[in-house]
Amino acid sequence: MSGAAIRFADASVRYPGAPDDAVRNVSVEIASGELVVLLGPSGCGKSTLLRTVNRLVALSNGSVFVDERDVAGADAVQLRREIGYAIQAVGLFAHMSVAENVAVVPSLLGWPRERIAARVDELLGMVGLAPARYRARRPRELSGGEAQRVGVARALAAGPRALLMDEPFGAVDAVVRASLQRELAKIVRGLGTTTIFVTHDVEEAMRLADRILVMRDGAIEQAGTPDRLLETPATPYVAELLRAGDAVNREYLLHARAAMRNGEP
Amino acid sequence: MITRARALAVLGSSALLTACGGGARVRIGSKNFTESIVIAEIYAQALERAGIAVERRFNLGSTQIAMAAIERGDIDCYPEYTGTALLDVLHLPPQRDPQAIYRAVAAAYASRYRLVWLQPSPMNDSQGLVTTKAVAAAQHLATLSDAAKAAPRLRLATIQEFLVRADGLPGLQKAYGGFHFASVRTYDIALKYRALLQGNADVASAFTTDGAIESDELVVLRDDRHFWPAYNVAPVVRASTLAARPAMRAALDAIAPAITDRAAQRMNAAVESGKMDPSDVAAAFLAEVR
Amino acid sequence: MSYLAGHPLRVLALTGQHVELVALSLAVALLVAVPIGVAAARRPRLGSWLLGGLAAIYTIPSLALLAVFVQLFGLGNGAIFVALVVYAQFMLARNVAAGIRGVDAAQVDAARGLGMSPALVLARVELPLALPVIVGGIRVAAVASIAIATLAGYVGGGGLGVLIFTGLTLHNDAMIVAGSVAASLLAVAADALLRLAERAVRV
Repeated sequence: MSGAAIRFADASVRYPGAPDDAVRNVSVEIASGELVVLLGPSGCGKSTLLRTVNRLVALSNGSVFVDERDVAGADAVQLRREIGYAIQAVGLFAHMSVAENVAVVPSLLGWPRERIAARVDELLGMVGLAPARYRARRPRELSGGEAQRVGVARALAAGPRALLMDEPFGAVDAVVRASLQRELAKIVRGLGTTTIFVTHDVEEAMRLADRILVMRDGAIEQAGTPDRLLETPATPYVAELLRAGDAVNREYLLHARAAMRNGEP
Repeated sequence: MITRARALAVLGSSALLTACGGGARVRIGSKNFTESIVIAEIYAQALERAGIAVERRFNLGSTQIAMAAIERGDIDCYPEYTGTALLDVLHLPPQRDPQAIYRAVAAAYASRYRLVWLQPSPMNDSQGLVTTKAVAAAQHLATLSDAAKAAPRLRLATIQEFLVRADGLPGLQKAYGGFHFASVRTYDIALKYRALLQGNADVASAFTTDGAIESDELVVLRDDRHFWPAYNVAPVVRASTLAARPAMRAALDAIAPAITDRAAQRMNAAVESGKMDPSDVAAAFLAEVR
Repeated sequence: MSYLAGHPLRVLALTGQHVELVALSLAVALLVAVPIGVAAARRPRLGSWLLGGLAAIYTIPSLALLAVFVQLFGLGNGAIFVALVVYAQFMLARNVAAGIRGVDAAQVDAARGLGMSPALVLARVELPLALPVIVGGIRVAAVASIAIATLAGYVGGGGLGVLIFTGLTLHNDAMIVAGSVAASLLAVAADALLRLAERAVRV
């Protein structure tokens, strides 16, 4: 399975009644299977930009293309069923079991029951939750990390070619976060799913990204691989954000990235 | 969950529709006093014994309300009095002969309202004025003419309807002259006798089959100018209902002759002072009829 | 209780009529109140107008409103049915609106993001999560309806009010007491049952 290619063409978003654009003329291409991180402080427009892909936010100008199809021309509800979506608060449906939560999109797509059941087990296994133990649990019985894993499983259940994640690990403690990051990277790379991941955590961006898009005030300051950004930050803002001038810090980040790739904690 | 709610809604609206459409039940109404309820219950049970399904809508209110209800089709049948129909509904002049009254009201109801009068009962629930033996002696009251003249010295206890109906106080004043009471107070229909007996009133309006009149202490004043006609009770039925259910006529005519003055007084007393349930009283009555 | 002892079947039959009247009117009232409550939750300004209007209606004495409906629908159960549906709106719509507004925004966002249509979000996520609050509204409306439904006895309808108003006309205290006590017990039972239901639907 190959991931979708996503392209922003001069994309702008202005919320009704707002004095400025939340997203300003963003043009960037994301290749199939890439794991791209939108990095920036709160209010920089990264979540807004993310949500234009599945049309939870409407563009005021410009276009977003998924596999060269303008999302504006698609049926929004159908589009969202083909794109995975995971948020920081997870939003597991409290009145449904874990299995029912994971099964949401497949059942919306009308999959037969046996296929759904098999898929749920497959995904729970993929995110490290033993199906027999977790299938019937209720969201309120889960820890933060477990809930987040179910959220990822739910997002990937229907095998989407693109995955949108909005600070999914922000509410989880540092130890759990590290293992979640590692497992996520392994899953989406294994599946080849194109992933856009929003975070304000520089280290997280370093660990996960094939490319980082640093955002500021609704626009992209710099786009590039983590190494590139550290070596040659394009603006003082980027340098400041990554603390690229701090040699110790640079070493630390590069080491963290390498450790990820080698499967170390 | 949503489908369950929808099913419930369908059930609910269909049940409502059958209830509103009247289904196949004959709706019997009554006015808001003991005798009307008892007789209506007799009619209802008589019909049920004849295999006709009945819905009871008793205690509706005054004559006006019962008439409005049957004209609108909210009820199919209720017990009415010939005298009341003559004077209070049709506003025709009073007559002496009970048969003539019945014929007149039956003809008028048929043509004006498409309502049918079935066979009347012998019971005559006429109106009257009652007083205590003590007051009668003190004020020399034996007839209504006496009371008409003595009224400025007398306190009247009555019900609201009496003050406005054509065969109530207004009619009395026209027929006899006078009848300008020192004071007039309205009471609940059964409490007025208590007012009389406790000395809070001198004269009370009455119905001659009221259970309370049987008391030794009360005297009914003679209607010397025959103002009040006969008030025989009979079932009044919507013509359309009767046409759809002709068996009603035989069932109700069969028990009509048994409702006599005595029977009515006994039943009224049983309910009013005996505190018996009207349905028990009616059932006992019908058991004796067969 | 002498009346109940002497006429158990009659009291039971009237209780059955009372329950039927209240249950059906609540069901219909709920059907009407859910769209109103949903609209009020989605549009707060419209919502405060709607709920304010319903509150105003609720303060009209029930007998007065009933008289209006008797003019329109005649004597019998029809007028009281409509009155019950109208009165229940305030409590039901208000709780539907509160319940929906109280639903976790993250779950609604997730539902939309995963590809549920607005109708599905309402049916599969918002309403189920709002259910405890809604059932709470049903509970309050049920108790009020049981009381208001006794007026049916005044306008030619059925139910326990027939005992009360016939008892008033006949000056039969035993009937009045029997009708009143039965209606009160019914209200207590309904309240207890619906409290259980409220707890059962809690997530």
